[in-house]
Amino acid sequence: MSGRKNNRARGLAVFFLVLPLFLFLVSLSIGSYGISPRGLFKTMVSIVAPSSHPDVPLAYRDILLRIRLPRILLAMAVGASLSVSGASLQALFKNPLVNEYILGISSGAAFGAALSLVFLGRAVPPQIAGFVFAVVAVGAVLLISGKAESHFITLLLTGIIVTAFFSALLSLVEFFASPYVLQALFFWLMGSLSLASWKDLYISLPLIAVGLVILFLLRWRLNVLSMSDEEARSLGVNVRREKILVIAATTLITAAATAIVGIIGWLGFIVPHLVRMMFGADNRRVVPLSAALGASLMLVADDIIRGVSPFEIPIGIFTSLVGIPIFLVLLKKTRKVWL
Amino acid sequence: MSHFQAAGCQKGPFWRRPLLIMCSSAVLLAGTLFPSQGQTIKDNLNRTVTVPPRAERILSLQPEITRILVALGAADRLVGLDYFIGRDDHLFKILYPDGTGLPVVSRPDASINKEVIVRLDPDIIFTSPTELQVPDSIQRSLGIPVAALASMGRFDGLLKEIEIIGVLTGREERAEELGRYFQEKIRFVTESIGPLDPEARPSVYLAFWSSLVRTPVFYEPVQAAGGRNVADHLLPSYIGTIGTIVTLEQVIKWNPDIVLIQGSFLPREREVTVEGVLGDKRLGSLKAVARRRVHYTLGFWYWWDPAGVLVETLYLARLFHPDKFGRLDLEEEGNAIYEMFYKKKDVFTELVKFLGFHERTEK
Repeated sequence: MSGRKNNRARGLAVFFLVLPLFLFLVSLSIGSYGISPRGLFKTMVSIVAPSSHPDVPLAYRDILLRIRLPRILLAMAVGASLSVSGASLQALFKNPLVNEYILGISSGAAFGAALSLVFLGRAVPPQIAGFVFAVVAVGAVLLISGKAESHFITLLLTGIIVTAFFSALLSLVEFFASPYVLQALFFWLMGSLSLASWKDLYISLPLIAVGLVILFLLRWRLNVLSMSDEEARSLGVNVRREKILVIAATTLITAAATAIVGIIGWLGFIVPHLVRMMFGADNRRVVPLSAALGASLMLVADDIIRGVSPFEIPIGIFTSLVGIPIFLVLLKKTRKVWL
Repeated sequence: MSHFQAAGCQKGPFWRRPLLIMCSSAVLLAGTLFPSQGQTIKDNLNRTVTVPPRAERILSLQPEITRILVALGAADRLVGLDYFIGRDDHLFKILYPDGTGLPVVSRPDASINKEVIVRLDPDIIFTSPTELQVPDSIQRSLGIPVAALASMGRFDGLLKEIEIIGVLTGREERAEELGRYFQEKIRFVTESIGPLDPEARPSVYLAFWSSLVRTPVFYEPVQAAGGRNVADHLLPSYIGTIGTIVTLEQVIKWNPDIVLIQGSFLPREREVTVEGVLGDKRLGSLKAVARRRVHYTLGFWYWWDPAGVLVETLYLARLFHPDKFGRLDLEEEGNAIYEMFYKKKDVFTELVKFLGFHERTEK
């Protein structure tokens, strides 16, 4: 009986792990510019071998290569990043209410982007400034909270305070901004994949990849870190070093994702819970499955946006609209949310 | 009040704005005046506001109304301004230099300094209908009549607004003169173009509000100038001039003949530029890009400037139909229009210079 259950769980896990690949292929065919499956195939072939199908319209190539592909890849990278970040921090803080923005990343990134747009005249791109200040915000949290590894409540409180501080700084910058620049800032803050480009991927993907690899390698240690510090030490783990490493990696991927697409709420909170409800709290499974499910959920949300209407609804709305009902159904079914 | 919102842009989630405007749309063109009932106006929020028989001390937190007051020659009645007009509107400093000394009452974060309002002691306050709570909040707490009026980006709304402000300030004749002039100019454009088949209208995509993918779903100057806004009716038309975000793919699908970029920002503040669009490889397949028909346009200035919208229509008409308007001296026309409204010479020349697209408006 138990064996059959395990097999089913394993099958489901495999399904979730290959789901992003399937959705990736499906997503290539979704968009307001109707391209037939045949046209899509010919375009893909012509991208690889340009002389094979000279009759492929330029618009098809542009849409597939320059619009859909970078957008889909960015959606997957961001979805995976925010979800893995949320899962890791929830495990680290031993707290189900933690999300990927708890250490001030969102407000730090927003302040950095605002600073770039308002005062620096884009001498430093908002994405770079956003990333730098997201890291500064987390650095400030760690510095202020002192021995973070043994005082998580202090760390969380400091995160809230630093978030509030950077939010106040953001308001101050907004006060001095011209209304024209404010428009650009609000658009950035709204969070969107609408202008995704290869340049965005070149900036964010290496950072996200490094962070994800670190967290993937550390996934089994997250189980140990979820225990008390004494227990973890008795198992030979350097608690302080490992915790700082996890925080650094989550900061890296969340800041890289947020700096490019803005603030996308709920994903890093919902996805790890969904995974734990379905597969248990073992972080060896939670981390990779959160990455896969986060990427899938983000892609589905983006596909709805791109496929349903010619106008674009901020993706944060759809991650919530898709994720929350699933979360509630599972919550009702399993009646547990943590560990 | 946030003039960011008044500009047809939204500070908060973008779907909020259509809802706000839908609330006000029932009386969008109204602002009806009932002099027989002792100066009562119905504003765009469907509020009935009793106003003084002749407003002597006016606090305008709505840029469009501030400009109309100047055009009507009633600028000396202004006792205070909103932050945009008072601080950021480069054109207003030219149109009414004395206004720079007036107290600024609102802030970019949508807050309003009520203590300053009390000190200024206005007879009436004008606000934007996009800030639903502001009029009632001020009126309840200070007992000063507050009217929420705006054209909502429609020509008839603007004409009605000029008429109402004319009556409230006792400048009915001037209001009538400006209204007539406005209609004559629009008529000149539409009659010069003549009846057009939909195919004869160039398709136009408007990249407004500092973004390549934010576009107005209703922009009357394009229609009046014989063009066709590709995003027209993307959202129901009854909600007035609002913006929405579209996908880049949709822009390619529309494949417009012309791309217009809002150019009412100083060059250093532009996030979207003509050069940027022409060099954007994602847009390489667009007809407009291939034919290099990507241009700046004035766009909104926190709703309309009554003179600006006329110049905009003429400019677009020349752009869309060079065969009919090729000989139009836009600079001369623009200066004449601004002089008619604001009694100032060479305003248009100065405007296009500081916006950095002087060469684009030359004959």
